[in-house]
Amino acid sequence: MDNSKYIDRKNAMRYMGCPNGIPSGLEAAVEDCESELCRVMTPRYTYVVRSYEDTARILSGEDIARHLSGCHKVAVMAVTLGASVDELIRKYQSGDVARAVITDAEASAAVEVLCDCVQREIESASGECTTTRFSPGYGDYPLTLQQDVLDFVDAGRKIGLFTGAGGMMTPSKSVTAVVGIGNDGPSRSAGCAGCGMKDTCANRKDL
Amino acid sequence: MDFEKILSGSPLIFDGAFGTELERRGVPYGRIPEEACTVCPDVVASIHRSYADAGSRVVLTDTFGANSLKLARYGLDTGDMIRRAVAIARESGAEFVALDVGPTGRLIEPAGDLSFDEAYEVFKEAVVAGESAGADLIVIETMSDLAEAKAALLAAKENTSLPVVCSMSYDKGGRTFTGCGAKEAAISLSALGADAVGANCSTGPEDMETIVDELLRYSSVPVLIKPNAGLPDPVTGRYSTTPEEFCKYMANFASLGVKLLGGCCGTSPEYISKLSDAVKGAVGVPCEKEEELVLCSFTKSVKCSRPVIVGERINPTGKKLIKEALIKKDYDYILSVASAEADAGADMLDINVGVPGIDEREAMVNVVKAVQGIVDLPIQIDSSDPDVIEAALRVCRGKAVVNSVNGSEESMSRILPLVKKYGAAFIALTLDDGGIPETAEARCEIAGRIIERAKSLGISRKDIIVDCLTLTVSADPNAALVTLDALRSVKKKYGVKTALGVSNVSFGLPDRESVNRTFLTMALEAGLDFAIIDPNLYSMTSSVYAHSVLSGKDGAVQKYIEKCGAVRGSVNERTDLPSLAYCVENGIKTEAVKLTKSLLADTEPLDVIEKHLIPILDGVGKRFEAGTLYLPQLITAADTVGLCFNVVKEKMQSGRSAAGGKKIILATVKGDIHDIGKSIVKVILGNYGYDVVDLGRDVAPEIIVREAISQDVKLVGLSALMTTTLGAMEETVRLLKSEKPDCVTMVGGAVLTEEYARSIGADYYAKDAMASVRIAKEVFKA
Repeated sequence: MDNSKYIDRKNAMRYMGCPNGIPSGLEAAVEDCESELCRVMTPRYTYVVRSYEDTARILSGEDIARHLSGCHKVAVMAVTLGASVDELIRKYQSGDVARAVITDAEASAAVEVLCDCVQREIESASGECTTTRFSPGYGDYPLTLQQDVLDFVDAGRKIGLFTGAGGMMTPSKSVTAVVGIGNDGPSRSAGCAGCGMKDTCANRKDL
Repeated sequence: MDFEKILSGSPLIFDGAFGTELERRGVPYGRIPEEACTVCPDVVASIHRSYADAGSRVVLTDTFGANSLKLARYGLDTGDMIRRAVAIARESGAEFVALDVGPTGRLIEPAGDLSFDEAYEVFKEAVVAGESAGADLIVIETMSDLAEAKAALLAAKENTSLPVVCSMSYDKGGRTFTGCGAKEAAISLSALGADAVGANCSTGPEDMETIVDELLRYSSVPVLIKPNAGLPDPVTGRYSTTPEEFCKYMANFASLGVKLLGGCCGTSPEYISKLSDAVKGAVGVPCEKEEELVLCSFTKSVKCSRPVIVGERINPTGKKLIKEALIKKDYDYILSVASAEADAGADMLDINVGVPGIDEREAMVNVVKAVQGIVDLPIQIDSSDPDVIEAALRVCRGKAVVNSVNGSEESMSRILPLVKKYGAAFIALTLDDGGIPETAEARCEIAGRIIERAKSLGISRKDIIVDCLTLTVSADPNAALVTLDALRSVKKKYGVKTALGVSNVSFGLPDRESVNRTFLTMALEAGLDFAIIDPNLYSMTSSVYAHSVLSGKDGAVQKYIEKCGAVRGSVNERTDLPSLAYCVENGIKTEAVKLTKSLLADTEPLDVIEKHLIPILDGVGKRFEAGTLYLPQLITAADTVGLCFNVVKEKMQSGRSAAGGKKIILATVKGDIHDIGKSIVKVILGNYGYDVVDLGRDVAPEIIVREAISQDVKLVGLSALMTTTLGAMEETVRLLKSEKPDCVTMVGGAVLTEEYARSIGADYYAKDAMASVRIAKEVFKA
């Protein structure tokens, strides 16, 4: 399967703290890591579209309410690159940490591309526009609801995505998100202003 | 129920979907489907009844998620739910009631954070409740992780007397979400004692043909197939395969020999009724079974029809760094050895962790789990202690080899039953209480005794691998000949597989590699099947491949071309070697190692570290902090220095440490399994000469404290990625302060701030890896 469409090198470099692209001397390593990542990843996704009322029990906080206001439907999605990506990163961590760091960043970027693909599918299936993605952990939407979000879309059975005792998703290169459907205006963004990390984040956009 | 007798007749029909039937009957979208047993027991009963009426002889209870990990979140009691569910199913009038056991909903380590033992206890509670409530059999289904399926299967076999069916869920490509193949599952689960193995859910029957073939061919027990009605439409939720199409495929499966049939998501009583008609009286043809020994991990299998290369490097004997890693419980170095062996062409890996004074059982379990987390090869468990062997067999995913059993009564009576119970293969050493016999005949006789005993326990002959023992030729000129004679006789007389550890033959001789290679070739010609060698030595592995070609075991010479096709001529030696600093900064690893070796020829090891390696790394670190060089470059340099360090350490006399007692513990806190930041800190600190003990990820506070005390560590670094695990970090800091007050703590991680670090009582906040070096310098200055 051709997974190279999920590679977003520019974003991966940004995650790695290299805003000017691949640092010199690492071109070959980055290319190797990308092709290994493409070889092992098994991108999977699932989503359900429900009314706002039906999803209410997995939503919490003012931020998400604001984010979804004006939407008549809500899509709840879960995506993962699969357990073998974690395995690959673990393997590199034991002997070639530079590759682990590169692969980790590339995988984080790839899972975002996968989310974009799913979101486009939701838009084309519904024929309406959507808000940006809003995930547990953003603003005041608590991370403790992660398991409920996963249960809501039956993520364990459908795509093999679970949480551990600490609430962390396994496989780790995974995303759950809520997307509002049918808001009238332009695509609404969660932005940096509502983020708990805004004071320390190196990737913060200007508020 | 007499499972075997029932399966000797017509195919046994199971039920269809439960969850989708609940929805279809308009049961309001509840919290979890299992709750239907208390909220609307009559609806549950009517679903069971309609399946029984449609021809299901077996119905599955509404207990897919009825385990304490899932139910506790809703305040429900597992035993109570299971008792209700079995009683409701019993009332339906179905001939047999099967306790349905689904996954825990958590991934087992190393992919997730649930331990094998925790999973076992969760399943044990469910199966014991199921048996006492009166279930006739247990169906473990929709499993994705072989370790979890194994935990459930062992829990059922060890705590109940019911027949157990064990089924996993595969995608179109024939793999589960965690990558387990149908072949590997069939081999492992039937070897472990499942009464039937199977595939359910995930895809429709049209995508299951290859899976069915593999399950039938590689399992030694009957096969269950319970597919979905195709795939659901994400918007309408409707499934794509009609009952007629469904039954067409299922009838074909029955004719191929599938004995247990039913449906999963999207199927209904209509599907089952048609299925029941379609397969009535079907008598499957006996399918072709794999006769050869096949070993496997959970993703990869190795058919032993041509010589198998067993990597011997994970063994502390004579290997200082492995010994040190085992004592420190820091397994990264061992993992890098494992991964190098795999890359060099090993077909499977021998794991030996015997170091005097350490807890061998704990070390074996940890190393087996860690190695299986990064390398996809089958494992050979190398120990003589039955407790160690059993602990490893429980957690090992796949069909393993036990190395070893010998001809002494104690060894046979204690280890062979474990081999049988866990369905492993084993190596039989031709020695006994009287030592290693000098003659080939006597060694052959011991082999015969072990083979007889194994047979009496029901162990298949194909699972027996005899090792006729390699002795040192410099001590006895006939040693190699006796070994080869014994090997030939064992092969001829018993027709079993054979193994030899090769390297011992050349002990004490110059150019050992030549002697080893020649002995290996002679042994292969005598019938050697398992060559236990160092796979990093190309001359050894290539001899195995070349021998396969010359003896007609490599078909169209594919394997040889694949492994030896690349030109491996001597790389032009560079005369103008760049400086060590240049090699480190640019990650030119082989050259950096070479330069370090030449430095060691006339420089004290400690001086190589302090006057050469550290200053180079300092330079790189300064440029990183100045922003002229980026994180991956810093790490590449550090990785390269790491290799140079290993060369220096090997050279140092034992007992002397470069770190001079500057020991630092690093760990990712409980609940947190993302530890890449910690790896970065580790490699940097390690290269500044600190003795870093990496306790890994998801480490409980008490373990960190225990190790800090027992290894008398002055500085502990903790990492956490998530806000949800900061509590565990706080708890660890608190416990350290009270149990080991002289220990300094530094914390770091994506969500941490200086302020937060101070608020939980940590002594230092490390913004990044270089900051941790500054902290360490300060702490150890005192």
